[in-house]
Formats: sequence, C-alpha cells, structure tokens
Amino acid sequence: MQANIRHQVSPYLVFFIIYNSQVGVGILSFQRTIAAKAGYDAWIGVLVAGCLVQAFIWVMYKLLGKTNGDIIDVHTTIFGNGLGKFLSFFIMIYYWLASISVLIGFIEIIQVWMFPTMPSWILSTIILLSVYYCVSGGFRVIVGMSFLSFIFPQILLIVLFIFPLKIAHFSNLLPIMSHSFMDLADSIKSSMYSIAGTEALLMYYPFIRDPKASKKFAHLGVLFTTILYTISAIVSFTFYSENQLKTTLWPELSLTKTVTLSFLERFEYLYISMYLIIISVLIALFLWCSSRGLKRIFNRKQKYTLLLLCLLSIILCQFNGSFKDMLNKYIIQMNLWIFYGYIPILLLVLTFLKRGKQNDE
Amino acid sequence: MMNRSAFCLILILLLLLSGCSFLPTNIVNEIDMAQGVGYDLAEKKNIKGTIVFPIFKKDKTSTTEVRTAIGKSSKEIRSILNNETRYTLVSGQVRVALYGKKMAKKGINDFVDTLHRDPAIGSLVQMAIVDGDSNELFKMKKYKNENVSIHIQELLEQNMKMGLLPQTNLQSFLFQFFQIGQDPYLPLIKKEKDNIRITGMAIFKDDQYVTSISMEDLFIFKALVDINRTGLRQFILEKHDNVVLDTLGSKVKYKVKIVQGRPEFTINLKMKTRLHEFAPSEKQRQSFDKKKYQKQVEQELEKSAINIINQFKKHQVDPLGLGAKYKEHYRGFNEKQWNMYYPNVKVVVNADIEILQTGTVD
Repeated sequence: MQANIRHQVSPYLVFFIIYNSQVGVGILSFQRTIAAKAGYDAWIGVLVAGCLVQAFIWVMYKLLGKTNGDIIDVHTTIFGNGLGKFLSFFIMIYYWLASISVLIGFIEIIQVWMFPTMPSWILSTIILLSVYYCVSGGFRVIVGMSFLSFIFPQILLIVLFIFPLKIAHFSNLLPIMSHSFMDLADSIKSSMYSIAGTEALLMYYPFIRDPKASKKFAHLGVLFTTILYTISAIVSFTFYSENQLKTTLWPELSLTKTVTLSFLERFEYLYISMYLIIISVLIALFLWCSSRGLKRIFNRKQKYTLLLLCLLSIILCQFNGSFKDMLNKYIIQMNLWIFYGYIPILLLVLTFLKRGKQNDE
Repeated sequence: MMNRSAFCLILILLLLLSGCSFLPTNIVNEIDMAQGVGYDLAEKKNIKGTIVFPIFKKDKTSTTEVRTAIGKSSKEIRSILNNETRYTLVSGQVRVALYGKKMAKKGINDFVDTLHRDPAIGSLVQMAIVDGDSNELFKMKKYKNENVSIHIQELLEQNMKMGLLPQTNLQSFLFQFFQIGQDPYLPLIKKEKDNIRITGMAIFKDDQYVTSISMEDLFIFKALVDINRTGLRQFILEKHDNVVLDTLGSKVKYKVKIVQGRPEFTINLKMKTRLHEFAPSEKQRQSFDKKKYQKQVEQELEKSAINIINQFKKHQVDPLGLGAKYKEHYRGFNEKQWNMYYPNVKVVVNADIEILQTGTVD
C-alpha cells in the first residue's frame, strides 16, 4: 500500500531522515552511560551497536518489502485486522514515549544550562507548537527540516571536535580491550538506545518513492551516525579522565566550556539553541509516526490524533525526576525487545507464511 | 487561513508571556560580575572568601571592588556578599580562582566542586595557589584602578604561553585530580612588596597541597609534562661557564618496562635550543664549542630532572603521571600496589639537547 506519489520523497533523502532519527539528546550524554562498566573500551561497543543497527535496517527492509506497506500492513496480513491493530498500537505507544523521553531530556538541559527558573510546561508548549506546525505540513515538510537539521549543526559539531583536540590525551584509550566481554556487552546495550531511532522507518517506508534504491542510503546513514557517535565518544574519552567522565552528566555539552571566542564567552548558549532544530525535527518525526499510526488504527483524522498526543505530552513533561528515569528505563527495554527481538521473529513468521501460501497455490 | 493566523497569534502571545515573567533579566550594567574569587582559611574552621568585581562608571575610569566575607561554603559567602552589593552578583565571568596556601594544605576539593558544577563557569578558568593570603593579594592598592583579576589571569596565561609555566586551568586540574595514577599541579604565586610574582609550582596529593618546586626546576618540569616552546634557563656549568639557552621545542617520551613484576621508567627528552648568552670563565673571547656544552647541559638537566623526581617520590606525589603511564602499559594495574612501588621506582632520564643556533655570532 504505497502512499500517493505527491506525498513521497526521493530515495536519497532517507540518508537524512535516518541521521536525524538517530541523533537526539542521547549524543550529549551517552559517553557517560556507556563508560559506566566498560570504561574507556566502550567506543568498541558503539561500533558493534552500529553493526547491529545495520542488520536491523536489513531486517526492516526485508519485512516491509514483502507487504510493500508499513508495520500496520505487516501486522494485519499476519494476524488479521483485530489482533494486528492491537499489536501495532503498542508500537505507536513506543514512538510516542520515545518522543517524550527526548523532549524531557532536552527540557532538562535547557533548565540546567540556560534558564533555571523556566517552568517545564512553557518549554514543552513552545517546542510542541513548532513540532505541531511541522507535522501538520506533512511528511515532506519533516524530511525538508531534517535535511536542514543535518546541515547547520554539523558545523557546530565539527567545532566541538576540533577545540578539545588541542588538549587531548590519546593515551587514555590504552590499554585497548582490558575489560571483560560482559562489560563490553553492557556498553553495547547502553549505546543501542542512544543510536536507536531507525525504527521510524517502519512507518515512513510507504513514503519513499523507490524503496529498493533507498536501501543503500539507509545503510550509509547508519554508517555515518555510527562514525559520528564513535568519534564523539573518543573525543570525550581523550578529553576527560575516566573518573571525571563518570561525574559529568553531559560530557559533550561540557566540552563547549572550553570554547571561548572574544565576542562570545558562553558558546553553549549558541550550541543548545541550535540543538533545538535537531530536537524538534526528531520529535516531529516520531510524533508523525505515532499519530499516523493511530489515525490508521482508529480511523480518525491525523490532526486530532496529533493534537491529543501533543496535549498528553505536555502533561507528561510536568513530571520530572523519578518519572524521567523510569520512562527511560522502560523505553530502553521496550526498544530492545520490540525491535531486536520481536521484529526479526515477525520477519521469520512472514517468510514462512508466504512460503506456505505459495505451496497451497 | 483563519486557523493559521490564530496559530501565529497564540505563538506570539506565548513568547510574550515567557519573555515577561519567567525569564530573569540580567542587564549588563545592573549586575556585578565577579571576575576573581579567592579562598583562605579563617579561624574556627571557617573560610574567608573574597570576591572581586569591577564597577563601571560613566565618564570615569572603572574601579575594582574587593569584598570579603567569612562563612562555611563558597555559596554561603556569595550570599552574604550579595547583601552588601548594589546589584546581584553573578559568576559567569569568573576568570581566576585563588586559594591560600594554608587552605590548600587542607584540601581545595569543596571549592573546586562549585566551579565544576556551575554551568555558567567555563573550564578555562585559571587557578593558582597563593603563598600567603589571597585576600591580601586582591586588596593590593596598586591594582585598585587596574583590574586585579584580569592582571593575574594574563600574568599566568602569558607565562604559560611564552614562559616556564606548564599549561594549567580548571579542566587540567580536574583531569589530573580524577586521573588514576596522577596528581594535580597548579602555579604558585606570591605577593612581593607591591608586585605579584610567580614563584613556582604547587604539587598536590589528591586535592591537598604537599610540596612545591622552585622556578629553576620549572624549566625541566615543563619539558616533562608539557611542550616547552620558549622557556629560558641559565646553566652554570663546569668551571663556572655560564650558558643561557632558549628552547625552540621539546618532546618527551615515557617508556615503561616491567622488570621482575616492577615497573621501570625511561624518560627520553629531546630538546632543540638556541644559545642566548655565553660567558666563559676564561675572560677571553672564544667561539662556542657546541658539542662540549651540549654534553654538559644534558648532564645538568638529567641531574635536575632526577632531583625533582626524587622530591616527588619522597612526598609520594606523582604530577608526571607515571602511575597513569604504567596503567596504560600493564593490564594487571593495581593502585595500592603501585603506591607501594612508587617511592622506590627506578626512573632513568635521557636528555638529548641540540643547540641549533648560536645567534648572529659563533
């Protein structure tokens, strides 16, 4: 069930969508979580996680290529209408919760680094207003925004990688592979969530003009983000000593403290403000997925499902602190089980089902 | 169409709302920007904190205001001082943090923590230990009209760039403090008559001041921990030949060898220098014999390197990060065992000095 050609995007744009869906608030803080157990060997874990995501992309393309639609079509062909929609509903909830976790993470950053007295609901309302505006323009607007959000912040990211290199201690990374396999597995697990986000492909697949041609761009996109994450981990590892990194909440943002320009003392203000583009497009993408899914499940207009999700998000953003930790914990579990456990099984089931049908004929 | 404009209206209203009541406004001439902070030990376990901020006046030269208060924590001191100042004190412009020597002996971690925690404070803040009272240093009359904190900041930075001080700042202190197998070091400054002068390097054990090295040893110390670009040092060699060398560049390599389970270090120091001044003991004009003096300078440098390393070993401090280097090369690193080995660890220094230029005369 391909979407109307008017709403479709060119295959190469998948590169930017993949990049944008993977880079969120995670890149600002993942260095600390991955190094918790595996120490400074954790960058290997990022590379391994990148390979797993590549495999996941392959699985998704196989799965969606069989029905030529989105995940809801896959579910309905396998389980029928009722159960299929019920299972899809869980995935839509995941998309929505993931967007909230990004939103809450970013609001926390704004409050700690820029405006300590600003209440959460104002920030979430302002961000969600622009997100609503973006999503109501349709999928093509989101893709256009993710292209922009790829171009601009790259310049800042490069600045951020070059300044700390002047005082980098590359010997920090030595000795390589001094941790046990279990510790490395832990770092893979925690980097999996930071570079998660490609699962949005399950919803926007029908919107790609020539899905087969887009496959290589999706793989390239994942490769690019994996390299970006690995470099970012290595820059942080060479800049901080190991115990210092463990005390730093946002290692990547703290890197900006070393940048001083004669006309701009506090570089992080610029950086965080620029980051709003990345964050709002990411939230827009996930809310688009979620609201479109709910629209198809409940046969309502997308406008209303989107409004409902936005309002619920604003309410949930009011709960800070322990709610945020709990949310993140559940989302990490959900992400692992749904997309690295359930989806591959789905592919197997679908392959056997189709084969069986062919035999009947 | 209606929908769109209503949307814009809501957006504008919201921005106005947030702009008016929820954001604290800080107008630049209605805040007092602290530029320097200092902490000294006071009586009864209290801390004497000093904050320096400039006051800008219309049509007049600006002056610096120095305020002192006694309290238990640095933010308590700030809130006490806030009761005295005309505008709110903000910390985003702090450039230099000084710690009195007596306080540094008890540990400065609590006071570094607040610099580290505050998102408004950059990590390139200069830190120094004052031989004496930081309060007195800030209060010097000479710098009443000249901004004293910027004076100290530039004094330190200038010496790190062109002189003998190795690069230090808040980030380097935190890095070394948290690094396993390394201890931090900070510059030591002193008020001498009516001047502020750098007198050496303060060496810490964790966050406590333990010992210091003098200006003379800074030449070799900088070469061992940093890149020595334009340091100047005078060597008085055999027969009182006086040679003054200026570095053009230096490179240091640490090699770790494990002998019978214990680490042994070889430090290879390569340095390119040029001759700045030459006064032979015989009062006769003679051309400079490069080879002969290179050898003698090498021996002299090796001797002073071993000297400071012995001093570090005696005090159980490790500013060179030998422990960290051992850890990089040996997977079974154990911090306790290393601390036991450290006082008797074998360190060999090989200096390789090359005198490239002798100036415009031979």
